[in-house]
Amino acid sequence: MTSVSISDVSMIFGSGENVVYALKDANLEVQSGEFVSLVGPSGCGKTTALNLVAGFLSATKGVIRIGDHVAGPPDGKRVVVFQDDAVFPWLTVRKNLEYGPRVQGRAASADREAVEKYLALVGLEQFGDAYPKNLSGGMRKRVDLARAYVSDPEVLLMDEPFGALDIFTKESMWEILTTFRRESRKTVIFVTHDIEEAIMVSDRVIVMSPRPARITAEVRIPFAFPRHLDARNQPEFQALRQEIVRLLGTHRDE
Amino acid sequence: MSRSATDKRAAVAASPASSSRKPPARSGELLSVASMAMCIALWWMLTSGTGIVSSLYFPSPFQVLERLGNLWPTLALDSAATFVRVVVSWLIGSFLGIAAGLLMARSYVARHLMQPIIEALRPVPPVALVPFVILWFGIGDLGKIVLGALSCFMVMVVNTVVSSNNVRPVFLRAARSLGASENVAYRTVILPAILPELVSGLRIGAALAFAVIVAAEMIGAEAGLGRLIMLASRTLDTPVILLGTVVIGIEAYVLDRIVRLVSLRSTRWADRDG
Repeated sequence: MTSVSISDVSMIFGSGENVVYALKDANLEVQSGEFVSLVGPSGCGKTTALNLVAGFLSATKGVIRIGDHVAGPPDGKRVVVFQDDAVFPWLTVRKNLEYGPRVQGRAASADREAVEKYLALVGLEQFGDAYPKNLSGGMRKRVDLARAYVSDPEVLLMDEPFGALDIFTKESMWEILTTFRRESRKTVIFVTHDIEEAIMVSDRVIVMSPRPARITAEVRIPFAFPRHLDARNQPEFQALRQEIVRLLGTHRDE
Repeated sequence: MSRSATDKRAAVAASPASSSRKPPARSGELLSVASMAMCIALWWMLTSGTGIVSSLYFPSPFQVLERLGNLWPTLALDSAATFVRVVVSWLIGSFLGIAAGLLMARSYVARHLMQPIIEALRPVPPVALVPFVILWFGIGDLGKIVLGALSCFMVMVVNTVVSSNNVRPVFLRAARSLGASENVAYRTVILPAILPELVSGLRIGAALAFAVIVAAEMIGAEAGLGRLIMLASRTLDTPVILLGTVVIGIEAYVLDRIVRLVSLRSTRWADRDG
């Protein structure tokens, strides 16, 4: 668990008159163990921010720190869960979970225990030796989440991980995140355009806007974990939802 | 792997998601055997059975068997010569092709250095190079191996570059974020991901190596099935021509089966069923 600090970060593409800000003057402090969502319409820079923290991009201006260290290229300390299916189809489910520890040169018994623990937590203990092609999309996403947790990173980055799933599968993913939160608290940055999802899973929601892409507001989510799906019907939940919709303003694309 | 693991995999394979309606087991093989038997019966009927087709144009099964009886020592030598040339050229050419393809997919400099040369040579049918190859390397094994290897190289280099470029970038990103260095990510993502396509390329290359090497043997060789067929054709010895052709077919089939068997385990993840 580590904090993430984004200070005065800008990301510029193009040059001269064709300069486009993929992110402008962003400032964000994510506490150790905090679950923060970035919401906003397309073009608001949320995925850019995530890719900068992940080390896939390097900022034109400003500094990103992971704990005390300036963020460099990917190093296994920041694991990303993507919207696209990134479960390796040539490895069995169990081998997928073992991938992180394996390439990091760890083969401790704790890692082997973690593999079995997370297989069970996502309800796939029957499918350890199955190939991903034999699993449904929702099951593969669970493998992806479990793989990220087994790898035991300091920071977890999720880029609209459930964007391609139907609402029922999505809801089961929220429950898995809650279970994982109880098992192993992580610092998480979670990109989504689903406001309800952001409220369900986060400690704090960061609102972003496009043209130029920037952070415009933040909303603290006061509800205790575990949060139940029924919470969505509570007036407090709906009030928060309205508040975020208002903050998104005319740019929202929900 | 434990037995329970195998059972589980079987259970997964048999789940509704992956099973389609299948005809009874082994009925397909039965049909294949029946169609082969039909062809041989038809062959016999048209030649020695009824005499509709003169043996000058197509020999009867008995004529072929008779020639096999008195020709087999030569035939064995020629078959071995061709098979060894094909396998050696195929192994060398494919290995170099895969290595060059991986290098091109990985390195900007290598890609731009090699691309024009390969694109210029690729459309040339390898058989067209036979006169030069004989001129440079003579009619021995070396020239034929060079020619077969060149053909396999071309197939594999293109196959490797295209399939590497088709690997979804998200896999590489996921591997990097999970802690793999660039080299490790390449080895643990690109290589396994392209393996099924490499196997297809290897099978195409093997078939091509047979075609090219037999053609080269027809133009000039000390031994080989191509030479055997060419000599027989000069005396209109049709049973031997047919015999040589059948042996080429058998050799190509055997090599193809070996490739498939060897690759079965490592490409199972990509099969549509199983």
